[in-house]
Amino acid sequence: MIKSFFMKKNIQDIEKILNSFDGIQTAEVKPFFHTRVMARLEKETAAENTWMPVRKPVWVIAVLSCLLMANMYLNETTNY
Amino acid sequence: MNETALIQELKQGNAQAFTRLVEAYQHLVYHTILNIVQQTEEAEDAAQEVFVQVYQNIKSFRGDSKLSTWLYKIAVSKALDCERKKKTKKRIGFIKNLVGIGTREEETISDFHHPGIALDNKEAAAVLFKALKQLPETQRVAFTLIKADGLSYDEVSTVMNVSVKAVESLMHRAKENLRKILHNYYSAND
Repeated sequence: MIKSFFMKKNIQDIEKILNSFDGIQTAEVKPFFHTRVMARLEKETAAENTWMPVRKPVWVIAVLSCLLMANMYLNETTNY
Repeated sequence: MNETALIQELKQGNAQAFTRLVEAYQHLVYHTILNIVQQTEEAEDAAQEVFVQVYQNIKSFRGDSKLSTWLYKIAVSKALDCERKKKTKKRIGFIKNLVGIGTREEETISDFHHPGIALDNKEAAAVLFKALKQLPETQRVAFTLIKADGLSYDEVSTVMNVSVKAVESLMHRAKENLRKILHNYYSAND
């Protein structure tokens, strides 16, 4: 009987926990959120606009391949 | 606020329209992310990322759904990215410790107390937030969107890109799993 009492209590507690979000209020961001978003946006835009000739891996591989081939060619032509 | 006009102005790069958008939806986005990541700094950071993404991709918004639905989608995606990064970091830390090159930082698992929960529900909600972390991603998202964000099943189906039936199933399984987790929690504490 005691066990069933505790089981019943546990079930009630579990249901209470499952419903504990009822009436939840929207959490609010700290003041000046918009200013922080704009600062982040400016930072990201500046980073994107930075001159980067070989940003993508495919370009890095292409440039390295060209250098390797030029090196091999020079080795071949000067090695007599 | 006329949503269509706002979207049009945003697409034209109107800075004032972007300010209006941030001010209108900042709390909604933050609240949604906070319910998933359960950490205020991470939630603020991810919320900023949401608006940066909106600013950069507004031209690709076709207007098939409401602006708020689109924001919910991005917010959920950013929150889940945040959670995945945390898990990866934890795994790397574990491996580093295993091979002896890591700095053994004690992980403090503190209860999360949501600022929007009434005082008499605080303890119960903290237990629920902890239990939610043990659910699979989709069940966790469906449960928080419905119970903590107050979205309808229909809205959740649009945000999660699944049918309403699938949302009902996710919600049912989430509740069942939470009951099991909480039952184990009580068994361990008895």
